[in-house]
Amino acid sequence: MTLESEILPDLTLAKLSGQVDTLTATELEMKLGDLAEVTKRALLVDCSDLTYINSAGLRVFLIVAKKMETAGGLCAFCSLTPNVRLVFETIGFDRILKLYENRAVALEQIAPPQAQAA
Amino acid sequence: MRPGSLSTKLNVHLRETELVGKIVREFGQWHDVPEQTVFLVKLSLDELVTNIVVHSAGQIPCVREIVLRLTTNQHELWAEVEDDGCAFNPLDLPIPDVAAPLQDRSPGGLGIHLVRSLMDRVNYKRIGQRNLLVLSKKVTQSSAVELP
Repeated sequence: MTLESEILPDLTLAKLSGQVDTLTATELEMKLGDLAEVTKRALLVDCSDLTYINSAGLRVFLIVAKKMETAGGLCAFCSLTPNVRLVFETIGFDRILKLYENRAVALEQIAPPQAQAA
Repeated sequence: MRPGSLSTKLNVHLRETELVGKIVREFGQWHDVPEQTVFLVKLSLDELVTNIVVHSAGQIPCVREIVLRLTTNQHELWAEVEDDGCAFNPLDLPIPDVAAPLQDRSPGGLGIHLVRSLMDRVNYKRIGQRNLLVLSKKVTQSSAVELP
């Protein structure tokens, strides 16, 4: 599991890669939690290279998304692979979390160019 | 898929979930199991083995061994997880409310809900001093090449 991040004025980009399981979920909770702390408005998790996630990782997504929402922010996810998307849908995460087809669509919706320039 | 079976013993440790993933992936390759079925079975077994290891910690007697079996025929894959711990049926755990709004969602119970939803059948049996969970998943599309 790796998490690479980029903090922009309007949003924080986090690219999550590899496998998130019971052994790596604690590290993810720490890293994503830290990013949520420094994110003012929106945290976008790019899942294009996320090959595997189990309930321990999904629990982290839920905790971070709740925390961001409580603080008036947003935690969104983009580029889910079909397997990961199926898992999200099975536990109803597609209804409670903001999901985007790909990074371009997510950026357009969360931080449109004019907002970035402003 | 190619018919076959595999049986192995696991140590009672969370690190073994990594090995479970490897076993399912390799078993899938040898038996032409479609990629999505491999993913779903790997996830289900990961959740069940994690549950057994975590619940074993406070039990007397604790779990000393976990046995994993995988079987395929042309159209279906079965997985069995057996342990020698106290009677523990994870299917008795409460079902999370997956329709609740974000702030009302509890992070617990997601694993067993995934297993129940992603497999076609999940059964629990207590046999003597052992717990047995049997999962099955039908496979519709096959990556196997039909020979003339």
